[in-house]
Amino acid sequence: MAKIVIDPISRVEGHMKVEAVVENGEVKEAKSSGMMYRGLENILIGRDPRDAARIVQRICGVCPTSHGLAAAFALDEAYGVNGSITDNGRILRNLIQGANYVQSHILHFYQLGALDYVDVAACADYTGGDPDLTKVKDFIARGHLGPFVPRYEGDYRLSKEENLTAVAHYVKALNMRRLAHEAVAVFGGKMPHNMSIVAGGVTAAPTIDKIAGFIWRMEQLIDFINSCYLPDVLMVAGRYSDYFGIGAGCKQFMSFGCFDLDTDPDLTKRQRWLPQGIVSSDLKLRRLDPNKITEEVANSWFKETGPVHPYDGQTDVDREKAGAYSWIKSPRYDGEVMEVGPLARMLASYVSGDKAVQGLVNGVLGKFNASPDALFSVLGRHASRAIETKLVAEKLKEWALQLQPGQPTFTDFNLDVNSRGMGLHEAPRGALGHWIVVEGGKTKNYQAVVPTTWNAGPMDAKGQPGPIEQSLIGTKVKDAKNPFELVRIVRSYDPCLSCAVHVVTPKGEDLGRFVVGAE
Amino acid sequence: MQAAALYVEKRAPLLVMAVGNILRMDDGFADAVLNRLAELDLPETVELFDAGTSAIDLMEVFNDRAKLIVIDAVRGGQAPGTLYRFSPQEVEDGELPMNSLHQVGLLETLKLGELVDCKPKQTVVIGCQPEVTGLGIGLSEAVNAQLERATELVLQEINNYFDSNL
Repeated sequence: MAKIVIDPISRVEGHMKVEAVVENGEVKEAKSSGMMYRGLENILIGRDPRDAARIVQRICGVCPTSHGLAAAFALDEAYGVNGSITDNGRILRNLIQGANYVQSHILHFYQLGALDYVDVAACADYTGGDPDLTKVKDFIARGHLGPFVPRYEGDYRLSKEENLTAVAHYVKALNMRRLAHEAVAVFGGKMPHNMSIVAGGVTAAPTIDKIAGFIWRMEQLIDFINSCYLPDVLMVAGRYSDYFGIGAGCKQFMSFGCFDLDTDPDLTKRQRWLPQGIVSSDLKLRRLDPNKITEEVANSWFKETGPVHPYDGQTDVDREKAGAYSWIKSPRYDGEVMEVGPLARMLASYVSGDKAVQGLVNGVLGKFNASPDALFSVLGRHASRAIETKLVAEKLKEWALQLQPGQPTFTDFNLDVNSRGMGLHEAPRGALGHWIVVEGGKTKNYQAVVPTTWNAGPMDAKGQPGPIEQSLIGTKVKDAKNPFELVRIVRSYDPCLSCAVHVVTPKGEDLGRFVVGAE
Repeated sequence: MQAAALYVEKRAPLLVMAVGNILRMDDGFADAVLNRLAELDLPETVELFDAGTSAIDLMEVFNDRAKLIVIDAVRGGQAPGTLYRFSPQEVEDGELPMNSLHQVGLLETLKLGELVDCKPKQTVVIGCQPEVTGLGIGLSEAVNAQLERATELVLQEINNYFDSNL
């Protein structure tokens, strides 16, 4: 029996640890732990509720936009403007969030995920004329192996040519990501931590030149997605097709739905371009009832509450709790484990009959002669993310043309309320819910249930492991020293636990020679 | 302060960038220094930027600058409140771990920027050793006591730049 610990905490500023117990080359037990306390909600209590849309963006360096928007949805309801968001406000929110999807997914595949499959060392003896590849070669030659190492050694299967193509696109993706980020900022204003998404709509005004600037960027991104991102995912899938059978997980999926098409005050009835719902392994779609969402803390370092709805959620630390192994709570839907993310969203669209999604998903499955079951896998997640990126980028172009310059983007409201609000939203990495209780115009309670809580949460009181844990259990590990299989599984979820202390911690950590004396 | 840096036709050649999470006590060091700088009458060629926590997003913000001054909390193994001054090259000799399962840090972003020619001509980090980085707003006394000196250090960097570009 061997225990594999993947603990990026010892590197950068990792917040996630995965422990897997391997017997006879197979994972018997897996524990996914969030290693940082996220008690952000407590900061919001007693403040002006509107602060939430600003402060929650600082939860994280990866999805501030999504947190800002989830908070805005919750505040819309609390202030009673959830049925009166203007068309411009609605569309601008979709454009800001959609551009954020595009940048996040491109970053995930190339900068975070691809290096598990692509061998950068293939550039070491590059002699061709591609300036990007030459730059990477020079990086390696100067001993600048980071950001490409440390890595696990062994299972790289692409041909030399394929590796070179992928590395060239890795560099190109950095530029594309910048472009997508600029597209977010066109209407989001200052980035990161945009200032324009607020309760009641958006503060940015859509002008002709902004609309043109947005579309111009989106066209270049669509070209990159079609000519690089999708083909590269298929290329990786071709060489690693066994990963259509690895990392299945809980096979139950939840999406809160994303990209509003109307402003029905009830978020469970609102038409969303990516639909809301629960998808089971037999590909049936059920309606979502947010009252069935609970969080429990059986194995988390919090005081025992039993399963409670987020409106009644508490964030009281118990660091000494016996058996606990994570700062993440265990969210459940009707007591069941749910996977969230692009795969969940694409399944919900697929099952509800979206022709564009069905066409692309069936195209990928047909290429590998696979049934829809193959989607419950590492490659299923990567493929869903790529397909979603393409469809979102194309849709954004269309929506940008529906903006009406000169028309209002914001609906005003009365601040002195006693009420509640629920913000159901989808961050790039999955279902994101914010719940606020307002009393006398001040925040009385606030709870955020974030995507990675759903995916990376620990075992619940009934003994059901979380989705990532279930994905790991039963996986065959060829080499316990280089557990490729496990990191590939975990990364396919695009986990994000960066409630973020952004302290620079350079290697070695002793910076005594750089101390600046008092004057 | 905090102009939407992405849409400035002509960028300020000197960028002072505050990195850190204001919700994590001493990680708000940079923000506090930035606020002090904002009260001063700085020339237009200096831009102050609240970068928050999203390092990977900063590539286009620091692109095309003659000098980048980063203010950040830095864990350098010294007593809380200790101030540091260094360039990224001085503390990193290559091995930047990209194995984080999720995000990309500041030093990595600076390095990735080199691959796409997104690079300030000169970069210096003014750092402060944090005492507490738990959840909350506000600085420890050790860090708070250094704000004035840290602000002076940043101003010194600004002056150095102008002196060498006369």
